Amino acid sequence: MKKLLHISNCWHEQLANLYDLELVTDNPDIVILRDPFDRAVEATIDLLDSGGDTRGYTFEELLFQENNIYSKTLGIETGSAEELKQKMFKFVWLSSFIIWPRITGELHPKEQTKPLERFNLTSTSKKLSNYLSVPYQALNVNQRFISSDLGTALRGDFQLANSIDYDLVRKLKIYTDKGRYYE
Amino acid sequence: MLSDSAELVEIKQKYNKYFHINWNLTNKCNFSCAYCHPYNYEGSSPAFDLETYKNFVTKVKSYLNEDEELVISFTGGEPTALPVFDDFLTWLVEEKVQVGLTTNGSKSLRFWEKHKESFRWISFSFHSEKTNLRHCVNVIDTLWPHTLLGVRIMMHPQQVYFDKCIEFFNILKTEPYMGQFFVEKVPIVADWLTENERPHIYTKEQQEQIDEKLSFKRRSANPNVNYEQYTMPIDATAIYKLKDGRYKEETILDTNGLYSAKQNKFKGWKCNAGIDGLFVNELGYISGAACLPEGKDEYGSVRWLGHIENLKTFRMPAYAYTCQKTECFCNTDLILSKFKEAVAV
Repeated sequence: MKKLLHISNCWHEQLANLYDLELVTDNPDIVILRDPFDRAVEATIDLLDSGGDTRGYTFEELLFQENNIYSKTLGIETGSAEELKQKMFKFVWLSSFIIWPRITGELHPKEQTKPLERFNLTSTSKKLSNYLSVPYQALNVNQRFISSDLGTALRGDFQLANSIDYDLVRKLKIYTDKGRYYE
Repeated sequence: MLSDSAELVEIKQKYNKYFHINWNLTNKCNFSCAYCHPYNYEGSSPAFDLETYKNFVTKVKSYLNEDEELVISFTGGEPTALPVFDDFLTWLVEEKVQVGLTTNGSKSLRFWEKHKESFRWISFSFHSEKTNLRHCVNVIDTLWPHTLLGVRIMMHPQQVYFDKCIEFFNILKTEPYMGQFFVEKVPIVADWLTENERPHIYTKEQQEQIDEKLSFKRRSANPNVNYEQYTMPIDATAIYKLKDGRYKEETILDTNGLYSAKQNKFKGWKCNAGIDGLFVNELGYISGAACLPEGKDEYGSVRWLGHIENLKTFRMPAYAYTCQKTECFCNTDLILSKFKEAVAV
């Protein structure tokens, strides 16, 4: 059974269920990551929905309580291309990737970011089914917000506080293009 | 604010395309909070007919340059308690007047839903004695995507209401999940608008709860308006003369800093009251600013610029006033352009 890296709020449970994968936090074969900020927002909504203890923090402060979750879970130390190469992941993909496109002159906050089209749940499921050589299964998109609706300035601050994760996601994104890790 | 050795020499409007009316619309209010001066809810001010309000706005607009926009900030009392407010607001929006509002938010959700896009900014005052927490959260959730929203929680000293204020402050930390607005605790002023006006002394426990966190900014989501619409149109900047003779501009005038440093004294300065904006009181009298810079006549009556019911005699001031006041108390007066004549830059 192939081993899928498990991080909450990344649709990993759904993927594991559909494709009969084992969810692990150590030595995964398959790494599928979501935009870090979107994941953190979803996790915070989950915490609040379940009546979890917010310890007096605001919604925004809760987002920063645990940073660089992807790198920590994967045990990334230097984040270098060499280190990622040594991890020898068999399959790498992103289920979402939010970009900051060139500013068009429109001063509308909702136009400051947009998702990179090729990384979504449909393409994730298709790529995974190809890799596993099994039939394609549709995933249920249960995201409770539109990414571009999220606070742009807050996303920027989050990106700064989670720079190790963003560097990792950037390298994985290049890997999906080139099949190699680059600095 | 810059260091104490820097000398304030000029205050300028940040955007010169706006003309601002600071309009105390009524002293009617559906609340009667213990810490508020009874005059602010006694409802003794007249309610003029809709045409009177419209005619005044039309008259002011006739004085503006083509590229100048009119901004009106309504205070009270409770402005929305004015019977014609709904219709007046609808008309103002049609006339492309930008509206700011100070409100207790008690109007129905249907009202806020209807007018959610009508305001450039809203200062939402939470009065714990009279209001419902859930209604307030719903109003905030309705308004934040469309306007610059500030929530001011008036810290009622009576314990049961104080606790309600703290509860509301804490609720807004995570509700609504998505939002962009500012929340602050506002200590009340004892004997407000009387000669004995002073900061209220809270119990030690209350003061600790106030000080624990005074304010926060919610910014989990983007508003539905663009950045330009989201900025405050009537901000001001300040120019300071430094010890070595150079001049330095403070991009955002820190009015609170000026008060606390007692630099809100402009006697002898030229002030653009009536040129940058006007003040209208709850009785319909018009002045250049809330400090009534026109002064008084030999009988002790204020030399008002006019009255909204009698516009034939009303003329906009053409020249800057020379300030005669010992201190500038009102924020909306403080941000009017003003300068020391000899050193203006």
